[in-house]
Amino acid sequence: MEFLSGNTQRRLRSLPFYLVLIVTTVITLVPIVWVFASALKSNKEIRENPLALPSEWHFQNYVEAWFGASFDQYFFNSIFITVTSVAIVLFLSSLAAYAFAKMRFPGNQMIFFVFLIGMAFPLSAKLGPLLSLMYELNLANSRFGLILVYVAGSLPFAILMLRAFFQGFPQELEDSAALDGCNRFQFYWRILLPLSKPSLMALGIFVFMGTWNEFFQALLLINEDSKRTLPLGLTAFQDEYFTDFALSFAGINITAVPVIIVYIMFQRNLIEGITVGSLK
Amino acid sequence: MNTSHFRSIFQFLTVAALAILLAGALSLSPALAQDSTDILVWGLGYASNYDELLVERFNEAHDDVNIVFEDVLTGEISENNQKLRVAMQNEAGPDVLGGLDVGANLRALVATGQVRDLTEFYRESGLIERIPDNLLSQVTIEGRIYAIPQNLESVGIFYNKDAFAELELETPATFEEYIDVLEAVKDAGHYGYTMGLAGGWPSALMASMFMYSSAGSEYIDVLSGTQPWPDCDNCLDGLDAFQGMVANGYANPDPLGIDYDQSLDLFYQGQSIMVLNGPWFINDANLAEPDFEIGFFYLPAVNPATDIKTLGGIGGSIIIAEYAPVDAAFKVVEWLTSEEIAVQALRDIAVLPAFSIDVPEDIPPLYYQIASETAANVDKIGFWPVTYLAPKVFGDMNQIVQGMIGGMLTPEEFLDEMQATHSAYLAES
Amino acid sequence: MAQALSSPGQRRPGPRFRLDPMPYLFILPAVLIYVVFNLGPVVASFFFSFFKWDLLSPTTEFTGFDHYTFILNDDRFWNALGHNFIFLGLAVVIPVSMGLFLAVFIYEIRRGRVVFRAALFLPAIFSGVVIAYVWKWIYHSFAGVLNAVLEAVGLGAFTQLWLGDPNLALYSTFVAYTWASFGYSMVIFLAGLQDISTDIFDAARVDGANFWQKLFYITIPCLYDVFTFVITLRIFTAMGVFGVIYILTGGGPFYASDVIDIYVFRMIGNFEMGWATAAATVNAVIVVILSTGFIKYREWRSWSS
Repeated sequence: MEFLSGNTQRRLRSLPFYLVLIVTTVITLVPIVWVFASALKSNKEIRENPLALPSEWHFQNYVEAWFGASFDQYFFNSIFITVTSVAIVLFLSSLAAYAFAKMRFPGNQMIFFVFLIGMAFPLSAKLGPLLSLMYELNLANSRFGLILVYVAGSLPFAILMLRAFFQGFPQELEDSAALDGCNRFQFYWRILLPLSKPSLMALGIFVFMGTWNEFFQALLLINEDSKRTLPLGLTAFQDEYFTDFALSFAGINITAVPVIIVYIMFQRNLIEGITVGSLK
Repeated sequence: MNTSHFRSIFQFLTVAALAILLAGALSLSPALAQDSTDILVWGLGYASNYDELLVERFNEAHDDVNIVFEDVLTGEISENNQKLRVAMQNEAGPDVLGGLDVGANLRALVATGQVRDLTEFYRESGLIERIPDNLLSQVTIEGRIYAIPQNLESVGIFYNKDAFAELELETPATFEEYIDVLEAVKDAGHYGYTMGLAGGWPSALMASMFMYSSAGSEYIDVLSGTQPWPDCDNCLDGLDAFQGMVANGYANPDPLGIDYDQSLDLFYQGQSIMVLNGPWFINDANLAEPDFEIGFFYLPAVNPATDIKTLGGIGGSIIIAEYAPVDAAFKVVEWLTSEEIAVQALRDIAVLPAFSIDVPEDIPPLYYQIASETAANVDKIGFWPVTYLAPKVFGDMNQIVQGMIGGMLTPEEFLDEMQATHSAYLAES
Repeated sequence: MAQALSSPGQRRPGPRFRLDPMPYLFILPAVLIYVVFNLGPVVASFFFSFFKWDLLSPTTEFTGFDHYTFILNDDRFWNALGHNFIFLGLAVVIPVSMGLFLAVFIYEIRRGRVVFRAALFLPAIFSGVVIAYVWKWIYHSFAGVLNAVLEAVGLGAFTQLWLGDPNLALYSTFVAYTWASFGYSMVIFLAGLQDISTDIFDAARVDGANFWQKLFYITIPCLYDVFTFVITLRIFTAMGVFGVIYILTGGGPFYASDVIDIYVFRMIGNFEMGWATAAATVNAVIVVILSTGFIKYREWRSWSS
């Protein structure tokens, strides 16, 4: 009896919290739902009744945006650039973070600090020279060049996060591996990496999101339509099709849906990536 | 997912990354020799879908030259110019480019030695006789010719013919009559002046049009880019009239919050029934398929004494990069300036060539009207002032025009701001 | 290489110093890419701000502090910087406190924690471009959903030109920014809350502490370091805000929503590299001073108390 009433009491107490959360969630999600609904409407319907749900579903908006406005190409570019960047970042940052966390060498602290500084500068602080450097190296207007720029941009945070994680590894592990005849690269490759799976996943998803969404540097470095990533393609697309309301909404959705899918699949890893990096 | 799975994924990713690194390195090595010469093109001077069509047609007809088309240009003029100039400086830009804004842009490219001198080509190809002197003078720098004027365009008012008929309106011949038309449109609950200044060039275009139509050629002197921006008292009438479009309630609401495309939507939907624009608008309008007929008239001059009929000029010019393979590039340009292609472009998408042709009569009446009026006025409208703005001035003009239209600046203050921006630019260069 | 692969576990004491190349091989690839494509351009940008350089012609000419003099005398620079600071001031208060309250509420409830966290974080995963276009449609003055909603609920008098009114434009872009960023603060606070020992909250409940007492006497003090991190993150994003404003207003109307990164981008577009690099350098210095200063102050305060 008493247990029950305690439970009810607790429920009553948390009622206002639920109320606020529900209201905030609805307000937060309404724009997203509205954009999805609008992409299924006809132009006439969007104009005349922007708030109503679609009376019939116009899936051809998506088909037109995908095939008619080269979103297939943008999509491929985004996948290619993002996946490659993530792989390179994971490999290079784990190598470096291992050295920073576990090895003693002159300059360890200082070089690590030089990496940290990189997180503080606004993007605009490097744009001009970066542009001319990329032309100098024949890497402007190239997906490969953009990958290098993205990798360089993600490294500081990645190293910071993995270093914190590797520092938590017991020294005994490495010592016993050494006794078994493991050299340091073998230890890194055979033991450290597999044991760091959760952190690498979290970091990978985090870098994936950042790279997939990047716009400023792509805008500056990529010229050709066939090399544009999705966010860049979306701006070019909006230039051409803004008066076609429905197609415009479909384009926004095509750019947003892949991140939503990755988010739903790896939500836990992503949030871990954000919070682990921040709380350590 | 267990550990060994994870490791194999990771190994796969690493191998993939290394393979991509290698592929990237290989792609930097020079391409293998081919039978035909590749000519890189960013645009041929028309809308990008039409450019692609032309490229296909060219490649079918030629074995020895192959056009490689890179779709780079977007609606953002300043972004385009920036990409072009940086790429050309690094010899990574197009070999041939159509549709270039001559003026400040051409001058900058010539100054850094990026553009081929075409004087000899003009003489040998006979092109020199086909281009009016006043157009030729704009692509001539210190006695040498660097570009080929490609098309000619002039700005005027496109109107909804059906709505005009319904309201029993005539096309105006004087500025007073134009105001009367605007009043009538306003009384009927429509917008007479379509304005979306949230981004890009329309604000510079419109402000220039009004200054031009009150100050005439005095305004052109302002824009030469090497002289300080003078007081241009005669520009003030035009600016007053421009501001009046909003102040008197002729324009659509929120002119500063919506952009060009959003404003055109008002026209296509029939809420707004006149729009100040250039002939490139026809192609847009055809794609939008409005359910009414479109007519055209020149905006009557604010100051009837002015010596200029309308704003306009060379819409775009063709250049050849200094680093381009010469013979192949000339072949492309010769083909592009042929009468056949020019007439076809006029027929298909209403683009009037700058080299004189006879306007064929069997094209849509609206195309015919604009093409023949533009051709008839070629000596008066051969100058596109907006493109003569120094880059710094052009970059800021959009914001400063917004200031005036939003009532934050008077026309006098507008000119002061432009003057200050212009002299800051002169001090730097 | 093989002889260098000694185990770090066997630390040999001895007077002879031998430099072990292995750690350097481990960090070399990362350092190389980072220096060439990230730090190098930043340093070069600082260096070039003392030269006349237009990105096009190879010639450069030493100009000393000329570009800085111009920038610091340019009203538009101060205008843009001022907007960054308004953004910063609002960003430190609004998304952070929203994040805090939502995190506390989620922590207080029992069912649906994961769902609320996932849903409220959703906007934070989108590209700035997507966010900007979504809000461009919301704010559209006559086809947009915001004014339509206001009309529909009888608040027609409150419809605004959200992006066209110079007094509102900056704040309209800020709302879009907030929509996309409070989720970040929220998940970080939530993770911080879950790290706090539940004993403290249980003890407080036994003592009969109410919601506000718990918030001010337990939660906020316990989240001291989390606050430092969350606010530092806001310093970075507010001082470097670009995509959302670039697409929503382009800095207009009449510079009403101009910020430093757009000011710089406009100058790069005009090939005024000297001014662009000078302005970017000033902004970078401000961000570094603000963020390190803030972190040091927080460390000092936590140490001194």
